[in-house]
Amino acid sequence: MRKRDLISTTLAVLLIWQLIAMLVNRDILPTPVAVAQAFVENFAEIAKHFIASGLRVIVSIIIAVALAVPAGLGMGQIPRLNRIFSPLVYLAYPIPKIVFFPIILLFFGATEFSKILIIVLILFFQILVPVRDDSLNLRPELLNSVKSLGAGRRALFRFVYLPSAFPIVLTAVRLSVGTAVAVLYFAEVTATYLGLGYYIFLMSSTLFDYAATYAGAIAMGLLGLCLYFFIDWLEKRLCPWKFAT
Amino acid sequence: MINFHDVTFAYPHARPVFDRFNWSVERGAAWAVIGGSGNGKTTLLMMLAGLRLLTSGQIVVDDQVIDRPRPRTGLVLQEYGLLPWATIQQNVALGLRVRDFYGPDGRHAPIEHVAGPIDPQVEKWLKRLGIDAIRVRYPSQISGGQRQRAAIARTLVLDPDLLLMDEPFAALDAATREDLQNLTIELQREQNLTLVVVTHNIEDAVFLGQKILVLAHPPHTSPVIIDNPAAGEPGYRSQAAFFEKCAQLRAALEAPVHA
Repeated sequence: MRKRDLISTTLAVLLIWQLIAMLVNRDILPTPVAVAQAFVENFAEIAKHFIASGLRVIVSIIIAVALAVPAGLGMGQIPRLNRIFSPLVYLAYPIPKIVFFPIILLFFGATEFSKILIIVLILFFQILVPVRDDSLNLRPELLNSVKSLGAGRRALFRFVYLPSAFPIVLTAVRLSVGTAVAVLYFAEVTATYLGLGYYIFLMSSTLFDYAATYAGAIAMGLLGLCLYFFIDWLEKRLCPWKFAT
Repeated sequence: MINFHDVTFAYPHARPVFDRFNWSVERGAAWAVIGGSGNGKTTLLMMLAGLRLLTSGQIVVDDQVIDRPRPRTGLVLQEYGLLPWATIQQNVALGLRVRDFYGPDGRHAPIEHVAGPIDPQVEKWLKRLGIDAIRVRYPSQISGGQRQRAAIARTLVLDPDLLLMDEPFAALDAATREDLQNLTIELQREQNLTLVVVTHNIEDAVFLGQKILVLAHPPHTSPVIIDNPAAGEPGYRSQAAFFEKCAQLRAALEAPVHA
């Protein structure tokens, strides 16, 4: 993706928004100019919530990766482990985990832990499944040739399974960022006084400050975008071979 | 150097591929193993590499019973088995890094292995195989012939005494193929390697194998061996003797099944 294309697309979207807002001419659809003004005026407040939300989602991603990658690699490498846990994963994978959020709140209250737990729960399966499948599908020639160099299970893990999982994990996390931020919004609407979800909800439903509502929504979008760009950057650092031509 | 004692191997619920099979290979010899697909030639190589367990019997290499990969046996596969995420230099260094990872335990690395600087050894083999200019490239960026050179360098850097190759030239064009065959013979002589090359290709077998083991119709009970002392000689490919040997080998492969 070229930077120039990104910028021109952003400008086009803003222009169309401006035109529609002027045509509709209602409070609930402020113009981008008004939203930008609100963003600047409320910057300190938005930044506070942005940081809170950002920390939650980053901590959740780190925990989910730290749990799902070893679990996925373990299931991929140890057939007995896979036999025991695969049916469980098969059953749990398609369940929309968000429905457990009210139950998590009942158990753990409106705590930071509850919010992180629900995001981790959702991301865990989205990372676990592709990592497991990838390590199950590693080409036997690759494994045999590395085994013939003397590698046992530990060295295979270190030199083959782990590096082969990097791109899979990054792709899974990239695909999950949207979901994670959406879940974050849901979690923050219900159980906190800090976070962009809370801010957006407060501005729209309680204070009826629509420009600030949009500013909050844009901050949430920026959070998703920042994470997305960060993962792109990480992929270029960790998987340079994918970009080699 | 290599001794097969009553080796039997069968896949589950199938008749044996090898049935009390005995075979021996002298140190420093160059062998080719030929047979059609499904005739057990790759199975033989994998058993010899310690990557496939026998149903019964014993394979002994250099007084050591093979039940796992042996540190001084090198293996080069048709698909090269290079790590796609590692540069050529990193791929060539891989075996040394694995050895340093375990230390000289006699299982994963030879007991006499001393962890030392990896780069000079890697450098030597990158140069010897003529791939030092592409050291920073990834396997996806280089040709099949270069990948095979990298796979050979990765094996030779570990100073093997036995080199096993599974269809190493199958995916290469004719010129690259001959070039690498010459190089293989050169290295085999230079390093005094015992060489076992598995192939389905008659010309490959006749050029490389001073002795050729023919695996025509499983189950294999006793080895069918063709002597081919001129193998590897420069110019052999264009001599009448070469074509005669090819014809002899073809006949052996097509011989009817013994009752």
